[in-house]
Amino acid sequence: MANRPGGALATRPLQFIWIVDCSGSMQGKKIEALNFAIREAIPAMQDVARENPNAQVLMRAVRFSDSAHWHVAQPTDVHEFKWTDLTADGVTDMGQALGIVAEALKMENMPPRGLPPVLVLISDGQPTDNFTKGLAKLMAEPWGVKAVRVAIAIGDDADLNVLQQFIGNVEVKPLRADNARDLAKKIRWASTVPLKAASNPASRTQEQGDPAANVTLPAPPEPIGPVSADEVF
Amino acid sequence: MPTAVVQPWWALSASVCGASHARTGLPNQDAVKVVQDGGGLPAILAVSDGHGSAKCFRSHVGSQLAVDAAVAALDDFATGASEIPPEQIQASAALLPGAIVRRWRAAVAEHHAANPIGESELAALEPAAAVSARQALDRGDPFLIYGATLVSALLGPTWLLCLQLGDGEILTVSRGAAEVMQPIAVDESLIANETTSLCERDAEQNFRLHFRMLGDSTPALLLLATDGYPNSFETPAGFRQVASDLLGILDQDGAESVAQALPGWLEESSRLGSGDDVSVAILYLPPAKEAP
Repeated sequence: MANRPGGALATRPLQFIWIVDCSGSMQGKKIEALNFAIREAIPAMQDVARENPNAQVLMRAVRFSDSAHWHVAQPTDVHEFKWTDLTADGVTDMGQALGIVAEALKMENMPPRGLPPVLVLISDGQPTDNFTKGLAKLMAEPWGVKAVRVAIAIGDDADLNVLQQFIGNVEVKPLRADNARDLAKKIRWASTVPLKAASNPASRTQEQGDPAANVTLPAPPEPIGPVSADEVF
Repeated sequence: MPTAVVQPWWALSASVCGASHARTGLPNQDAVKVVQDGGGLPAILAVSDGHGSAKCFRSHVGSQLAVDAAVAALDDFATGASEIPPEQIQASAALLPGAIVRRWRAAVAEHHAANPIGESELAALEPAAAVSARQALDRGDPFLIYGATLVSALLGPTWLLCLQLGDGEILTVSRGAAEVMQPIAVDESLIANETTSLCERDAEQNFRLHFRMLGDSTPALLLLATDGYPNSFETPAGFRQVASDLLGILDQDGAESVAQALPGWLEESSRLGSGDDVSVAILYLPPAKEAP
């Protein structure tokens, strides 16, 4: 019998982008905990990817402080992804970070057969640049609108309002982390649960409720129990 | 001088459960239907992709009702079209989306009336989906629960009519022509998992139509596919290649052989590609033979 008709087959690409606050207020325990938590989350992400072999998970990371830059610019298969520690210094140019992500999600940079991207924004403070402009750039891109957007607020000074605007769905709240163990738990959830949901999404029409809820997410994890005062960020 | 004898058309179809559905225990939510009698024309093909979300928990039924509705409406249309001048056929075709949507909604309403959604069915859903389903049922709208796309075609003796709502693709290729044609262009607004649907209020307006008189360009192969098939290929060109490759294989090995191999090819495509359900409907005209 003849060979299968058609060209090369391929699983569907899924872009996963960390957007990480590296401002001066993240120095010390917070950035150490964040680096540890992301590194620890990667094996769990690889497990999710193995369970969903028809999605090719490609990871990148953007850091923002004084302006914003790619920390990992090349979309990297999750099975080959290595986390290089971030350092913290400077202000909180979150808007610029969203602008960089918007550029990456332009239609010409994304194959139409791709799965919804997953964007995870992590911050402990308030934007020092034009956050609204950056968010508008992101939401001007069809793939920005279709992205599964989750956010983690570190400590009490994080701006929950801007994180909620980034999420763009009132039913999904920013995750809050006040200590290293909680941050690890939230990063693990944010890196695996949306990834699993976006890896195998059902078809969806615009009439199926809030357009922001492109992929349905289960409830987030509860905070961990009481911690000692010196553990709190 | 030898006489060329036109061969009968062949209709083939297959629908396979997606690799990811098989892993998670979900049923095949696609449906396919072809109607073609005695190797002649008209021939009707339809494929449908049930949305498969928790909110659309009867979309595997909705997709079957979609192909039934399309085939019935196109069958009626073909009968009527044989009695009107070809130049009026296109104008008449503009009424088809409304006819298909009305048939589908009537069939959904009938299925829902005969099989009311019970508490146990709702209890099995995710909480948000259950709320959504209850709200839809409270406002007398069971259609979301059955949501599905539709890709359909009617090949008449001298013309081709294609209708599409939502994702999926149609390809044609003529014998001797290098280029594979897409009668209905891919809707670039439908990225990621978004689609238009029969369950939407504006379904009729969202249909896309293609009509053309065939002249000398009768396709030797017409292929309809749900989006799980094109999404399994690395590039759009790789998917279009399916049509030209298939025509070559059909000419060489024959339709019966391809009909046997087709489900395996689709399963391989889903497994190494999108993971989604894959369905195709194919109409094929073998090359003319010399009379003995």
